[in-house]
Amino acid sequence: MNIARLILKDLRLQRGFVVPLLATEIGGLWAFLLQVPSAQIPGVAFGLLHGMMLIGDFLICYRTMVAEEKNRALLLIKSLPVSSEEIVQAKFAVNFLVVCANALLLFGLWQGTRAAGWMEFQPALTLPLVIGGLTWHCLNNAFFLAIAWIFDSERAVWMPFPALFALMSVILNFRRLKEALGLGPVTEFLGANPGAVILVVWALILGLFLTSSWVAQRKRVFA
Amino acid sequence: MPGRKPELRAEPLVVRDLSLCFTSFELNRVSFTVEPGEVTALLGHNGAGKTTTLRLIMGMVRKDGGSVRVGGLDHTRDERAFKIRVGFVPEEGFFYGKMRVKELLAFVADFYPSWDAELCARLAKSLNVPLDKRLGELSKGTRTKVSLLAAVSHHPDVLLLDEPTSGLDPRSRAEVLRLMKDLACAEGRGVLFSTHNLHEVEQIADRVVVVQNGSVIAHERLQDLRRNAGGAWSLETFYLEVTP
Repeated sequence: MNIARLILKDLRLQRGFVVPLLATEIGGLWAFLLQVPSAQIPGVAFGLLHGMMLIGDFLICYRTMVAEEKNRALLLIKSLPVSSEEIVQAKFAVNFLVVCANALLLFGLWQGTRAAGWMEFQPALTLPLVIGGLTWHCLNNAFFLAIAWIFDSERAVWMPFPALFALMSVILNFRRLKEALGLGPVTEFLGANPGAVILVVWALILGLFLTSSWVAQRKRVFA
Repeated sequence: MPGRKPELRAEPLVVRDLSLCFTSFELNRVSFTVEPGEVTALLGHNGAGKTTTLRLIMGMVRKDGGSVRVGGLDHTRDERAFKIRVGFVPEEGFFYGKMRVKELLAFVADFYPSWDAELCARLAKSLNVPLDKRLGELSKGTRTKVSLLAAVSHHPDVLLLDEPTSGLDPRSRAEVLRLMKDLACAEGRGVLFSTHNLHEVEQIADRVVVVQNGSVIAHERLQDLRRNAGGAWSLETFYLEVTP
């Protein structure tokens, strides 16, 4: 029950954030698309949409977790009869709820725009694409949350950038890394089994959650 | 939901050998007891360890050793049950600026089976707390009063307050001090408040715990100090003597 109370509190506090969040993401996507030659729009729009949603994942974490740590509201929560574990569980749950709601709204707009014939966006969304998108954005958001729990709010702002550079380097050098580490069979298996990729990502999310929970219970100074 | 009626005798808060070691600060085997029906002042210079002691009791800072108990409940092992028996008023209002006062109180109330909505409404009226205003619109004094409402409306055995009168105007200060004294005298609760204001201690405290450099250097009943010293005793002289 405590977790449900904490989730409801956060949802109530964030209800005014939905419109600015969507406006930021759609406005950002629009601003990028205006700079792309119209012939290339169908090819790049989906990547750009996910890029804007990536910023959204960070903003959701910032609003629900980092801002609460900064204004010391987390200490109020800690003074209530609630365990640290419940606080972490509620934060992850509310973040995933908002991330999924945000992604589903944007996916709905994407499909709506295609159906109305306003834009020739590609691809058409399928169930695996939606599930894959939700999983990817939950991982992204869980990463920000874990940084905020494991370190502190200031680091939650800055830590993702080095990680993003590291990730980009891995993507750029993926072919060489694959050969050097002998990952060929693994990548072939994952390529042929997208469900396995989803499971691996959710295992990572679970790892981030368990680490956050473990750290929150052992932190010297809570929030 | 009907609240738990105040018991005639609440349980004491017993702090034993509470220790903490940071690189820049150390709390050294702090021990004291907050008795029911009494106001205990945690007195010390800035940085002496008053706020850290209160936060350690509430589990906001992790201790290195020692124990904190209320009626057999340990503050870490029985965290939830312990916190139901203790109310905490922080120095800074760490609140949600956009939440209305009544929304915050409703949120806090849900966590306590012993929440007394009638008491909360009565206190809000007597302390002039505007329930429909947003927390971000309130003055520091009113935010402290909201913290007090949240901390006392579930009938805690012990109330902890971190410099509750800091930054308050004289009227609000008098109201807060009166409420603290009433909680101890009329309701039999134990009250522990941190301060460096000697006048306030003399006004309402029954006991004083003096902290310096993370250690308790005195733990006395004010009545005993007055009686032993005779007519010329003052808290200021005592404080200056024990904190060289």
